[in-house]
Amino acid sequence: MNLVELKNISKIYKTGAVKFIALEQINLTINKGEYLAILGPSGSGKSTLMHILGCLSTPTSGDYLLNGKNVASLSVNQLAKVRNQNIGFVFQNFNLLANLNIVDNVALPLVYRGIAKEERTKKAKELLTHFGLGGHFSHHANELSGGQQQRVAIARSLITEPDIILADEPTGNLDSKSGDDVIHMLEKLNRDGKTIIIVTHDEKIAERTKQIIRIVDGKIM
Amino acid sequence: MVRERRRIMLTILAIAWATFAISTMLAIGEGLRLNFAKTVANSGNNLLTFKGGHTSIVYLGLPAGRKIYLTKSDYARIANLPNIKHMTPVYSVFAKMRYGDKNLNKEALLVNEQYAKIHNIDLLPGGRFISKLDLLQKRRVIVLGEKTSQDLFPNNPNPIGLYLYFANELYRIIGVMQHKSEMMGRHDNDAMMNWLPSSLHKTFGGFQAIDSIDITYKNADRLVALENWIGRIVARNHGLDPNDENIVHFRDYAVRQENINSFFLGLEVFLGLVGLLTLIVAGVGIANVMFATVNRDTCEIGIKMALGAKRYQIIWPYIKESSFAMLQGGFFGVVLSGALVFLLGLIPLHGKLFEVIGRPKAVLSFGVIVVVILSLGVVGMLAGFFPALKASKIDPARAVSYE
Ligand SMILES: Nc1ncnc2c1ncn2[C@@H]1O[C@H](COP(=O)(O)OP(=O)(O)OP(=O)(O)O)[C@@H](O)[C@H]1O
Ligand SMILES: [Mg+2]
Repeated sequence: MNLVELKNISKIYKTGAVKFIALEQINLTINKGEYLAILGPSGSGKSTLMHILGCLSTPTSGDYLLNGKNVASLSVNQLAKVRNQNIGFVFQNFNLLANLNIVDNVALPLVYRGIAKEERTKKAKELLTHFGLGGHFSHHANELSGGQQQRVAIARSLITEPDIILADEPTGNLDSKSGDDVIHMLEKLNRDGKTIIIVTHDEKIAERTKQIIRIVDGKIM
Repeated sequence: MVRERRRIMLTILAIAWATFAISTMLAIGEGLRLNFAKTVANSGNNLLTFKGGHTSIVYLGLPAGRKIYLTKSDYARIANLPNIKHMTPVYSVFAKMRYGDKNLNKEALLVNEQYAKIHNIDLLPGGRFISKLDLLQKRRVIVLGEKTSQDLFPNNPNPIGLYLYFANELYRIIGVMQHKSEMMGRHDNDAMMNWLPSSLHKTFGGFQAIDSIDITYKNADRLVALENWIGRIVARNHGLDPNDENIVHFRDYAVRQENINSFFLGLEVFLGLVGLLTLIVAGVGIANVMFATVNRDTCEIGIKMALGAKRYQIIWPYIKESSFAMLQGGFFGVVLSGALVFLLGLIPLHGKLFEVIGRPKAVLSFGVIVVVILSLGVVGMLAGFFPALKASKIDPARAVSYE
């Protein structure tokens, strides 16, 4: 069984009377353990595709089978559950919560799963230590460098042990050294068996993955 | 963050003010209502008084317009009706009352021992009302009203045991009425009145009709039936048309009591609504702060959604925050209002007006507090709910892409 199967996915944005076709008839299968880049110029629909893959939004038409289950038309709460259980997000701007320390940030997905505080904190600390942030538990995001923040974000994406990690321009806000570190971390995770999808407009990053999906004007080339 | 705090503080203050307003208003309304209820009750609870009226229908060849006088035989027959709790005949007598060098025109009512119960007459310590034995033995005893006692004995607040002359006969004073506030006493005002045993009525000579009969009834639901029965008994007894509604004149205090009560209930509701309006304004204030917070938090909410927060997990913090603000403000408001109600209670109310209407006291009753808490709860929930609903409708895909 394929991990992800997109069938004729389209996404149309309506702004007033204006319709904009962001994605058109996308067909895509992704296997478990894949390391894949979605590559395309700005405005091509990469993020839109990633949001659908991550169940942050639903397609206007088409089917999305995740682990064989159709998630294209689930309710808001059902989608939230799928995101919590199957998806880990890494964003360009890190998207850490400013008013929580990094342990609580990493542990947050487990809050929505109803895991007890002690257990989720322990797990968050283990992950942070693994990523070399053992000395920063009480720090808030704004007290860390961009590279460190993205490592916290990766730790957070992993804490629920999801099927897929979706990374949208994960190096976009980082210097080349930190960006390299992040790519190395993702590569390592893939070697350990995680399915990783990177959204990027950077050819060099895409070339390091196992498979490249090129997208232009909402269509796969 | 500091500005946020300050805004929340201001709203809490607004809620405290609104709560203060609503609970104080309700307390005052409640106080007025209870006071008047008591004043009305002082004039007699479940009280029905009636006098002879006149015929208004030609019957058996007799013309309309004849005056009807209630008799002892009417009284005896009516006394057998069910639903009557207390009952007294009332004869009214005007005569000179004399003590020492004081010689005044006074009215006395000749009544039986149940009159005191019917009209809630309390006596000063050491005194008593007319008893069955007084009636039986036709003792010359008198109970003085407050006013008469003051007129005749300006320097003796409780002249029990003294003797005075009424209509040139010597009477022993057995009781003096205690002060009470009343609005609708039977004869203007019980304080002006004096009472003698009804069995003495023959000694005053003249025409021996009963001026009125005063009763209290057990069951207010059957008041109409009771009045119908009384009318028919009197009609039959006097050989009159039982369908003539003017034979007996009823004065039914329950109706007026209900009117007054609903007037004050209306006043209380009105005051409550004014308070509620203030509370709603405060609620709109909270809602605005919450909306601003939600707008500021859009990105954060999107992140939480991306991490799997369910709808209620997004909504709950906002409901909690607004309810908490409401609770804090409400607490201060109620405490403040309680303090004011207490202080108001310390103000002595003097003057003629308060003699008549009694001394109203603001009452922060259990009911008032329940109403206040319910309104606070509902307004707080709503003030949090709409911003929270907006939060839950945020599109996470857009929110996480915010820069
Ligand atoms: N919520 C929306 N409403 C209307 N139009 C949208 C919305 N989101 C995206 N779009 C449009 O859809 C198109 C694709 O957007 P998307 O964000 O997927 O592009 P992208 O490939 O991720 O670009 P970038 O590299 O700049 O991030 C763009 O033209 C964008 O303006
Ligand atoms: Mg994008």
